[in-house]
Amino acid sequence: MAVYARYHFRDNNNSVAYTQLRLSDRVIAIGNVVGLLSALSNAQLFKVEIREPIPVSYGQPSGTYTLAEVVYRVDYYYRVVRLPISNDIYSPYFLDYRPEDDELWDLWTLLDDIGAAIYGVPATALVF
Amino acid sequence: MALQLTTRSASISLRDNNGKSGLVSVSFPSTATPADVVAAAGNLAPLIAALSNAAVVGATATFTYVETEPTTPGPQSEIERRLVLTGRAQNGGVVRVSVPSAIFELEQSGTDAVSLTNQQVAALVTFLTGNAASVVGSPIASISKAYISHRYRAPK
Repeated sequence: MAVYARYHFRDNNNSVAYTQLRLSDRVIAIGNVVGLLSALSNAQLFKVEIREPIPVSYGQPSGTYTLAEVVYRVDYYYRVVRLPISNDIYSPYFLDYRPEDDELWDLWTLLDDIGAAIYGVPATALVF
Repeated sequence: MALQLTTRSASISLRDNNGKSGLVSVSFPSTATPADVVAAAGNLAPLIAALSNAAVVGATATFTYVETEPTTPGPQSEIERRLVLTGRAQNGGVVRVSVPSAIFELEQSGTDAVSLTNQQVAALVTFLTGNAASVVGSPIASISKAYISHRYRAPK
């Protein structure tokens, strides 16, 4: 999958700039191209940022959505997921919402799956 | 030189029927591999779509690598002074690649032009034209010109 790679440089005045390249994959993006760019610059290459587009497309817009902020917690770390909630799901009671709605339950389950696979914490540690 | 993967995130892009766009962003802990993040982003997209009456129009996984052994910037380094390479993609599109704070060894007396036969320049050109790099979906076919450009200084 093609990626966009930004190579960030810093000069001795602490000013920063980047070079952006579209490369065939992320392995190449952090490969010898880093050395090639560094050899041409007397600034400090301090960071590489890679954006990998994932081709997805679902649905047609049917209304103006409302952004609601949902917070889930893993151990002591809070991570914020901003959900564009449909008008028919959103309600003044959303902040007290518990995952009884099917769509929210699906999302909860996925986040829990990520947690189980990555965070290694039980579902009860995820707090909406 | 050593790059360390420090942050991983995925974002889902949505657009409503007024053409306004929004993002859902999720960050991942250090134990997640890039493959985990890409897979999770693909799985999140339909779930977000089910929650919203806006359309999901794309998803992006973002990874940040930090140089753990950074070199010290050169005493006269200046990011506004760039090496610029120009050329064409295979579909005819214009290619422009620039590198901040070009090394002084690239300069030639009385001109901003940089020789494409310079060893370091030639190495980058070989990489760029070797099908690993592209613009607007088309591989870079050729790099025909190299020069030094400064944002605040007139060309020589």
